[in-house]
Amino acid sequence: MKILRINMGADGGPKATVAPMGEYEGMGGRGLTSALVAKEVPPLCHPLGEDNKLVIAPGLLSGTAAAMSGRISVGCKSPLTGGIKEANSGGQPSQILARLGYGAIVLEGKPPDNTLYKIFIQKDKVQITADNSLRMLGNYDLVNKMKKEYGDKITCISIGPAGEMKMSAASVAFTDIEQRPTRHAGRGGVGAVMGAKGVKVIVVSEEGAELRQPKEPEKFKEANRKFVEGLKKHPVTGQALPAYGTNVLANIINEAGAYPTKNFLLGRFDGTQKISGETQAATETARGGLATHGCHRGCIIQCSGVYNDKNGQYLTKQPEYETVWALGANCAIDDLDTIAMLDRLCDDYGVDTIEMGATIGVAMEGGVAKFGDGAAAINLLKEIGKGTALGRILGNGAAVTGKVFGVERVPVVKGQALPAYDPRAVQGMGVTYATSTMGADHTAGYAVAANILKVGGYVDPLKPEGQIDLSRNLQIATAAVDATGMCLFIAFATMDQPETFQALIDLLNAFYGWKLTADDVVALGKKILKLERGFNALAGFTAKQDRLPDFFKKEKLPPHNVTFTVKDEALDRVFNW
Amino acid sequence: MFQRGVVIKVRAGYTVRELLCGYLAVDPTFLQNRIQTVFHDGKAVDDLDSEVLKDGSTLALSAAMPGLAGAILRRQGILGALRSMVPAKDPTAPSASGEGRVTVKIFNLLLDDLVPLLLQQGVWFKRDDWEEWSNDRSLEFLRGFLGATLEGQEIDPRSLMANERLKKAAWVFLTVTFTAHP
Repeated sequence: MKILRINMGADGGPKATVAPMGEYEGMGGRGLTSALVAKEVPPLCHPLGEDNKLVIAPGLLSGTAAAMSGRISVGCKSPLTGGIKEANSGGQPSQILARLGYGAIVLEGKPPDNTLYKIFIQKDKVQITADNSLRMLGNYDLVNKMKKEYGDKITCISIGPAGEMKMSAASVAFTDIEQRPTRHAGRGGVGAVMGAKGVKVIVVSEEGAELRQPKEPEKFKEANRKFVEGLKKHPVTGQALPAYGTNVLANIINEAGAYPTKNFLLGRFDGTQKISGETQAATETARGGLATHGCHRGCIIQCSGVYNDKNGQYLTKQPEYETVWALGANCAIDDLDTIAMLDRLCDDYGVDTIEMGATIGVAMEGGVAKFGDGAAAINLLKEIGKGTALGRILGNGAAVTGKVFGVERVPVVKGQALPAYDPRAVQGMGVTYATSTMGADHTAGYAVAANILKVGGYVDPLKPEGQIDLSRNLQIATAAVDATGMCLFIAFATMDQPETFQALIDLLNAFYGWKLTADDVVALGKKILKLERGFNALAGFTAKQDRLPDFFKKEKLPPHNVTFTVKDEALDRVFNW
Repeated sequence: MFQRGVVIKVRAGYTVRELLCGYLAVDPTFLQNRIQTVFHDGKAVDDLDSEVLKDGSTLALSAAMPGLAGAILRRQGILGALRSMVPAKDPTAPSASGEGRVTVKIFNLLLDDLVPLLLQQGVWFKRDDWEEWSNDRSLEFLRGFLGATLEGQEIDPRSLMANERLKKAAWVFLTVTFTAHP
């Protein structure tokens, strides 16, 4: 594998160099992005400045025949949090980049003016071209233009207008199997960094992309067979997710009283059944869309879908649980078509749906619009696309919006908006939100295997201390999975079925000729977290940043009237190992 | 409708297991393997034999759910420690006895298997819920009925949904008998 470095501020114009992986050999995904950012990015640099780097890295198993291996990591210093960031996405580019032999693309430096560039990557050639005709194009029009220019055998990595305007909620879009820009590395403003580098789109040609071959083919094949078998037989990965997608969670989280409603004022939303996964799947199917669909080739969980409008025309990909919550219940909007339109706009402008839902919720609390007004929410998003003064405020996220409109209840940690689980009702999520290196992040402490829980000592789940230890171990395991390029949803099967977790380790060993054990996976996860914590400390983060906003401790959340009660001293022990 | 919840009238004091395996005749293996997330009045339940239903209880049933939160809320899941401590119900509340109304919500993968069991025992709809449910039924759905009776009198099933007496009733009790297709 090789690293493609593109210095966007080189004398005479952007310059590409290709080199072996060097010290990053054997790394992938979040392991690579965090290692590179921690080593090469000055922690005190301005996130939009020349010293920041944007690292785009497929995972360790991306580009192979391993199921579920198509995820990609985007790393940098985050303009939203000011700390280290890894944003993760599905779509096709991971597989193709890896098959062309790229372990990472690193965008460095900064152009001296506001020229916009497109980058075209082929098997043995990289072309960087100035193209200001792409300015302010939405991601959909942009991708269509690239298809006309480069043909159909391409995949795209792009930013929309939000990234060009360097908004802190800007995402990086990745095209899916149908070549639509529906998959996003959403969190933390990674799109703003790409915009600051002057790169509008990276087009990757599929021509000449070859499947990566394992060192031990028979063992790899057997490990993959067991891995797939484990995923298919598990009720979550084999049934619930394919049938309903992640929005299957809406009714459950609502029932638990943990479904943040009206800017985290309440824990239940009256309109949940209208926007649930069950209702969404039925609507999609009735309109000729798809309730079961994969975001990348090789995905067998198929949690995605296709959402058509009332006339049966494509509108957007199936909005996910987080998106339906953020743009739905959090804003008191109970109409799936409105939510789908909001999702489409987010994808087109290139903004994080979670951050946008939280931001609109804060704006509603601040009186900019009424809760439940879907048309107003759509207009607020359109302000972002147009780059108006209001749009620039909103596009920089919930914290900025809260400050501008004098709102006290602003649900952010390290500047990043909370996702779709109220920490008062699910305390363990709150521990992870508060302490994750990424800011409030629901995927940071996601994956666990039974044997990982026991590594380092037995955890008594009945003791309050158990929450701290569990969150720690979850974050360690998640960091390790993020390095592999595997979709994090494999975690449900690996958590319940030790043989499926072993199959994942066997896949890595058979591909690379390694002899990893579960202990090594833990060590990898710890290493990644240590790097990230170290960067954040040098960037000025202290224990004070590992806290939830005060209102979670004070305001009782209906219907159970609970508050967040985990003590600060306990939060400070999460990373003691 | 079953997402929002339907009402059944049962003996108060049933445990969750007694209601499911006794009253609804849910197969114990199905209960063990498929009904993996259970809520009683919004609180995740691990022990189905000690959780007692009362008049006014709400029981929600789901398959295993994705995500960390899904794992945390799963019945007897290893991540249960990450739940919040939900305050106990009023200890002075009347003890479970006599007949009671229990609202049952069915979610996701359990709909196909459990809704027929509920309908066979009979469910109560409030007026607004009946109107919404009947308005949502297609002609094709109604053609699936071999017959119907309203208070003992035979009527055309296709007229059920437009029936004025049903529309005006405060509560509608619906039972469905399923016949195997020859």
